[in-house]
Amino acid sequence: MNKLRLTFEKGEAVRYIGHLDVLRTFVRAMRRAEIPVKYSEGFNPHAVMTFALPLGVGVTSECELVDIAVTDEPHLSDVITRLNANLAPGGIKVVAAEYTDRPFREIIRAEYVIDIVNNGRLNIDDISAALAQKEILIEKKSKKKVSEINIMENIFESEILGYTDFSVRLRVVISAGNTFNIKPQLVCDALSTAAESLNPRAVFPCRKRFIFA
Amino acid sequence: MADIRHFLSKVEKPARYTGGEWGSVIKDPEKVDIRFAFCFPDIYDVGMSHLGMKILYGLINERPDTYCERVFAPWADMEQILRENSLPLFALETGDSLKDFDIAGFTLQYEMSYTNIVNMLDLAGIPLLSRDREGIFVCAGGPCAYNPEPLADIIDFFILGEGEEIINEVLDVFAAWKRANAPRKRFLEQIAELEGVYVPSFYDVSYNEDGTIASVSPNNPAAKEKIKKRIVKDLDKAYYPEKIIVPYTDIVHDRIMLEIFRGCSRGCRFCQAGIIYRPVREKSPEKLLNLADSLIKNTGYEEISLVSLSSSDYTRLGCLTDGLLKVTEPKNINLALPSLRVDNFSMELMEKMRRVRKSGLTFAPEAGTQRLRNVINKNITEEDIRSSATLAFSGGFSGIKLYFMLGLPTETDEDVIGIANLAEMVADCYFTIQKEKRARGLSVTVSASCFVPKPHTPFQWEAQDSIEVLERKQKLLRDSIKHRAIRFNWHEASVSYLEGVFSRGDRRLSKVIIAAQKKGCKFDSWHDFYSFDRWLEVFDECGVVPDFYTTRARSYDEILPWDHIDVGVSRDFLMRENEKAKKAVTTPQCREQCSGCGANSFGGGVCFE
Ligand code: SF4
Repeated sequence: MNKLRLTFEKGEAVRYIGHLDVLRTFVRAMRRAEIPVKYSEGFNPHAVMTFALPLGVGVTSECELVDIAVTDEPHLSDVITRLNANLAPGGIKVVAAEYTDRPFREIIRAEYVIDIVNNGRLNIDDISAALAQKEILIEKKSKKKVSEINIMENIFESEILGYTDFSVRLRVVISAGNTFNIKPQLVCDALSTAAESLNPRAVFPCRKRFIFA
Repeated sequence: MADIRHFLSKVEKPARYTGGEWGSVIKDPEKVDIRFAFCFPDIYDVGMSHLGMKILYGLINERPDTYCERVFAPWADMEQILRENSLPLFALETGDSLKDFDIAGFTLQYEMSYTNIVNMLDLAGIPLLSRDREGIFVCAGGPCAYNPEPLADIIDFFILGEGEEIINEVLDVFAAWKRANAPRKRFLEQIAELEGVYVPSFYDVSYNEDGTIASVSPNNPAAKEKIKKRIVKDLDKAYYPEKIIVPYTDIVHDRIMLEIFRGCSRGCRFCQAGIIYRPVREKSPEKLLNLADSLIKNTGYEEISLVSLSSSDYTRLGCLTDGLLKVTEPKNINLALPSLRVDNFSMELMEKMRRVRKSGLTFAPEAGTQRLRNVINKNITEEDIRSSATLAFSGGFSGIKLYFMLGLPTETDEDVIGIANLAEMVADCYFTIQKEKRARGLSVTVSASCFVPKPHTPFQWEAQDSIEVLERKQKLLRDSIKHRAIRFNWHEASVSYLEGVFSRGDRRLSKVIIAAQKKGCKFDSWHDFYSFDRWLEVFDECGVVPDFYTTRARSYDEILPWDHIDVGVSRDFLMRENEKAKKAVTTPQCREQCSGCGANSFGGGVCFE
């Protein structure tokens, strides 16, 4: 058995599908592409695959990672071509493939570009000021509990990439990983508590890259 | 204008509205002559599970001159966003407004979706009444179109019969009409001449004092006296898609559907599908295996399900399932065999089912006593049920679902209690199997729906039980079930009552449907919005007495609203069957003996086997 690691994009057309949908799409695309996927034993066999970090509904990505167990050692460029020929345009697209063992748990941060469409006129100084603060407290919900965190301790880089009177584009590098993960929407929620004119009507995040420890 | 993308993160399951799935068709709308919107009056999850849509979507998009897109009913959260922001209902492929299409084609799968049709037209900004409409044509087809009358004022034309047989002719006429720049009415006249097309505005209906129909007469030379349904004669030669859309999100039936035959040879007297799809026509196993192979390759689905009214009636089921298992097993694909009958459920078949997936088994005795089963011509015996149940339990199944109907003609309390007795008998079968040899956890589910008399069936003249009577029978049945392993599910009687109104309704109901939508009725088959009281108010305000359509028995000489629609089965046959029902006399099925129903006029299928 070999572990095949794919890097893929989640495009605009599939922004609103959830993690399970991405998984299902992959399983079916692999069957269409006749990739020699390894199936689990047992009564309900399923493809053996692991995603680095599930991506939420509403978020696109240029850097998703998935490990797939294969029974053979298919040619990497061939895997990419065959899979992409079996994925709908504008949706999921495989951009790289490799055989690697580097564990996903080494992921500590992720970079996002977030487009925010605002309700009402936006004062960009508000946002700069908010980004410069030392502390913005916000409630973070996880499966088990709700805790209050300081979002600023989890933003390692931030930058305003552009703005209009009613929108702004931010780049942030924030905490990521399977044990502790910050969602880009939470950053926006936190910023809007600190920046008075920021009142997002819609938020369009895109995950750009993972940062490993 | 507001941008729909700004709202998508605020609705439940936004992927219902974004399209772009594998298998969805991309065309340049500038480069086609006809924009066709296939409209399903329910949400994406339900509509995408529908086989007819997959067939027609594929077929229409084979035409280079036409682009067929999909439109579904938005769920209430999305509807609110559309209304608040004055956004029009749009098609999934291009996002273009439905109003700008050439033809909107609705599929009529169940009566309780009629308010959704009106709601969708309203959301699109399309006039609700056919006579007020310009531009887009609104048509409809599907099983409920065999009594098109309740929608007569709303729909411009109906397609009666199997869409794949006729839709290309309609589109050819449309293309020519559009090129000729002729008046709107001219198109309707041209298609009214095609067999299987019904233009309701070309008919006048007059009424007797008692509210029954006095006459239905054509008011346009293009309109035929009777409109006969169209069917595919040879299913092996008919179009069937080899590539279908594979949704990103979970839908109700998320699998390959392989239609093995159309129609049903049995002739159950309550069953509309058994009549309107006559005669039975099968696909050959060779053809089906080829289709399955392409569909598996093209979709990547992990499950394939055989589709028909009664899988175990397929004449070459053994050969077909053997062939399918050869393909599916090595690929870890499930094979599902729904719609089994108890009288030909075999050991062999059960073994195959166990190899693919151990799920519950479902049987449909429909009635609790032999007498009533004879009345409805459900030709199965208690012994059939006993042996099938025993076989299933000894084969490792522990769950059996039993389907019944309450309110069948001639039903007595004894028949109702008979359902409970039958279920107990099935449960007892489990205990005849040695403990080591049976699976643990016996569960028998009794599911009882309420009988609704349907047009074009032998029971089309019968009175429907009132809500009170049905509720009393439900209670009687509930109280008669003693065994702890038996669970009882029943249907809301008032929903069946409403279904009964529209099922045998006439064109005076169009205004009721429109008024109901105005009052907020929608998704009437969903619990979330359904309100019977609101419906009663609507009937009251429209001056329509719903009992007229439901609890009233019709005489043989009454003109029924759908009498000018010809499904190929003669009125004589239906009358004969109704008389036999009253005497609890059964009729053999087509494969044993032809009963001369009239469907041999189509020149194909079981009548000529
Ligand atoms: S004509 Fe005879 S064989 Fe054909 S469908 Fe009718 S009853 Fe069956």
